Amino acid sequence: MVEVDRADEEILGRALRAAQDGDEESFRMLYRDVQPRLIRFAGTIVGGDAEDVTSEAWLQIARDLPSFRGDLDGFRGWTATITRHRALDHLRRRSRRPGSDLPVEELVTMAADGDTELDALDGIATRDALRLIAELPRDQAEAVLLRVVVGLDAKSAGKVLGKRPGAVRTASYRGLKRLAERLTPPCAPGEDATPGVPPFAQSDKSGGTGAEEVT
Amino acid sequence: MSDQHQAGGFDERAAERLLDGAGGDVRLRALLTAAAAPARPGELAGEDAAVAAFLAAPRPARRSRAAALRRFLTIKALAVVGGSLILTGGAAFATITGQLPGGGRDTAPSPSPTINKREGTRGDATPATRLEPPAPVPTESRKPSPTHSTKRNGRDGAPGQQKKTKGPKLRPTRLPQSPPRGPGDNGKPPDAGTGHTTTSGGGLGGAPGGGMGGGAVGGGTGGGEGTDPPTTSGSGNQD
Repeated sequence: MVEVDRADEEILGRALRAAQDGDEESFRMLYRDVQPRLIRFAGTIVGGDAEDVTSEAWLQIARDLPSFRGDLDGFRGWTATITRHRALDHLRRRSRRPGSDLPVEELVTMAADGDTELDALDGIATRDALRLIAELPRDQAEAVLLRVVVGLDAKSAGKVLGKRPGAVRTASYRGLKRLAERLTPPCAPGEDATPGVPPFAQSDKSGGTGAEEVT
Repeated sequence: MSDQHQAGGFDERAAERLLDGAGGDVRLRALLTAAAAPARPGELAGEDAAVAAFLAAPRPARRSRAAALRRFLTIKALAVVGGSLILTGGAAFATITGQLPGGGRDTAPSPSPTINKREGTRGDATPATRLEPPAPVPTESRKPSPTHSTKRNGRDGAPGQQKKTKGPKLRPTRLPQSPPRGPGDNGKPPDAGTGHTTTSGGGLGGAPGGGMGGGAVGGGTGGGEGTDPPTTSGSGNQD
């Protein structure tokens, strides 16, 4: 998703303008490109309620699209900002309803149960990867998701998060570092991480470079 | 899990490279690739709902832009006609009285769109505002949709529409001639023409538009004769 080739980006850029002029097909194209990014990003904040949050976000995106000014990257950042605001609203609402508060991992698991079959091939890796990222401290998870999944650079990600680019770089660096640790837990620092790790770690070449030196 | 553990070659720069999809730990890179993998169908479940919202949403930006342009031109055209008529009267009056409407220059621009566009509440704007309602017709804005038009196309399309709207709303005979700059200049040409010679009554409508240069020349001479007294009937009406 990150490495979309340039031709696709150009097509999407045109679709963005056409959608702003009201073209439905172009809007669908944009949706299919952006929604997976948004729902994964939202998942790091609200867990299993990501779909609700993105639905709300899309209402706003659809409404305000004609007045949006910017290119495709700007559009992704803009949609991510909207999604984040909806997600934070959602958290606030949820915190007012005690009892429905479940840890993120559980929510992610619950959400993931629904599409197990779809995940059968490569989805498992995606789900586990997202879960690992979601287990990071939220600022790190958000930074990593915005950069890796939404596809923003540090500056745009900083705009979404209301932070300086440097802070985003640091957060994503720390997040990645922690992820690397989790991938090969030397002395099992994260107990809850282990169930998610083995299938994923096995699926990759096991000759870790950086992480092996940790002992 | 302290940060020093992983220090083996993994610094912020390496992280940046990794985020760009290059270098770094193989598994970590695989994890990031997996996280960014293409959409799974379940993730797109809300597509139709989003599209419904999209179709239901008004297109305020485009519409208002088009409407503003249309309104602008409508008012402009009105101002040209109205201004010409008023000035004709004023000029005729002035001719009789021996005063030439130098003040006409000030008065003519006043009903011009600059005022009406910002707020159509000025007294003289009422005839113009009466014509505005057709502007927000929603179907107009949807028209360009199938053409995948870029912004550039949209802009090109807009002027075309304005000409259309201009025509039917106002007397089509003279208006097509009048370009946007009409009101500013029409103070000169019309009154100059009529004030100067009686024959130029026919040139009234044409003068604001096509005859910009010629009219200005005429205005120069005409105005020169007795511009000073600004008491035209036109000025009284306008302000």
